[in-house]
Amino acid sequence: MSLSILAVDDSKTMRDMIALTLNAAGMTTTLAEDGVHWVDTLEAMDPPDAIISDINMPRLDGFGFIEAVRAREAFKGTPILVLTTESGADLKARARSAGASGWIVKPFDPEKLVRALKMVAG
Amino acid sequence: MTDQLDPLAEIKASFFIECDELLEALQDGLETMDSPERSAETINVVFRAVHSIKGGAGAFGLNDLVNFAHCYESVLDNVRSGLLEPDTDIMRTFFQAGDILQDLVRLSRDELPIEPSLTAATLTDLEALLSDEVEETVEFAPLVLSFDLDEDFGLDDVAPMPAQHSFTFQASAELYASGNEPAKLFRALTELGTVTCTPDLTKLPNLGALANAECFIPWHISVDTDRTFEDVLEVFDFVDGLCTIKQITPQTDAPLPLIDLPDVASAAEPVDPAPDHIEEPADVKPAEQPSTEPDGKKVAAPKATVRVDVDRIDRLVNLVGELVINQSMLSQSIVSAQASNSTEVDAGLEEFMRLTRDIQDSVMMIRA
Repeated sequence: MSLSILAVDDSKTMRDMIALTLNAAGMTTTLAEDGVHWVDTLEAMDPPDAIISDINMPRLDGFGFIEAVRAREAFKGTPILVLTTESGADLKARARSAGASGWIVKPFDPEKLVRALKMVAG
Repeated sequence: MTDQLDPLAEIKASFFIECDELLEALQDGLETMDSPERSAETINVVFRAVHSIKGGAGAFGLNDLVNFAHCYESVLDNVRSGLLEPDTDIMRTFFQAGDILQDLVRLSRDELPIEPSLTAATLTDLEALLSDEVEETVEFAPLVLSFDLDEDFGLDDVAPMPAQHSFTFQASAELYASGNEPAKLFRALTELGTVTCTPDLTKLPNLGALANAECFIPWHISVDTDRTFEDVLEVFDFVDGLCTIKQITPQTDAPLPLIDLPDVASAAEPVDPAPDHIEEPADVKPAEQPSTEPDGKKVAAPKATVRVDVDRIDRLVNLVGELVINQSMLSQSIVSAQASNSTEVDAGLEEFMRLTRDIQDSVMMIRA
């Protein structure tokens, strides 16, 4: 069964790269350029198998988005991978505190991203 | 195949179009930063523009662009976090950096050479603006505490042999709370080779001390594979900080004779516990090299050991696990029945618990 992935990143280039990678791996990808819209509609949607989130985004950053997702009962068990160029320990600690499941640094290795998603959501 | 049919080439072309938009946002943001209308969000916009260019450039291996954007972004991050207050000179440097970023994007798009002189002076100015604080090392990585692998097997001319990598895995409560599941990590290990996972039940506390959200049981994991230990660790990369991994140092590289272990029930002779080779948690550090002789040959410390059928060890560990659980239940029953008013019962129970712990420790040392 195809994994459904929601990827949130303000960079079109990154969204395209993620879609290219995940679609090639047979996953179904939903793309969003920021988390605000998705926070509004989370209640009405079925949780995806996993979520990928950037950190530096306009309007609502990745930390806020992850906290908002985790605040929904239906999404408490949804794996959330942070995908960002950042690698500072303090930022990782914040992401972990917000509820992130894991952290992958950009530029990402497509094979590694797919493997991580299969591992947390498969 | 032409570039038009190559999805990656299409994304790269799209990246440069996005760069134009980001550079425009950068320029507008810098002008606002240099005016009374400046706000925190303005700085965020400027930061994100540089950050996004860096992120996309990294995906296509445009290293000159990445390196310059990274330095520029670091200074902007200091402004964003209040460590740096931009004055007229700093704003001038920011505008220059914006112009150079534009040049770098253009040269990268046109696949033209980038001379170091283009960025050198402004890079120096930017680096001078970075605070003196030392960039933090990544400490979210799994705590790998010992790389004491003896690689000198005299097999330089022979193809890599399968090795057994053994380590303990301790999940934190946060690992579960963040939607992760150790079983999936273990399953991923099976792609590397044959995996054996054994829970260490000796760490199970008394029933009264059990807490729902806590993780008490570490796992002993062995992976038989021709891959390196670093390859094994890579499986845990993205959950670094949510678990602790301690490598178990191989004790010997010489085959030893297999001897029979007496049945557990009849084992009355005291046995000297083998030394525990699991290092205590410490800071992440690189591999510690084995000691060497003056001629460079590695020296293996001689150690008296015996080989025992793993099934027998497993049986012993399982029996001790059951003993521990029964001891916990008995202790709980005594407390519940309020039978511990007797000093003799208290003393006997305490001694029983002490002996159980000693047996646990001794048995687990055999496994380690």
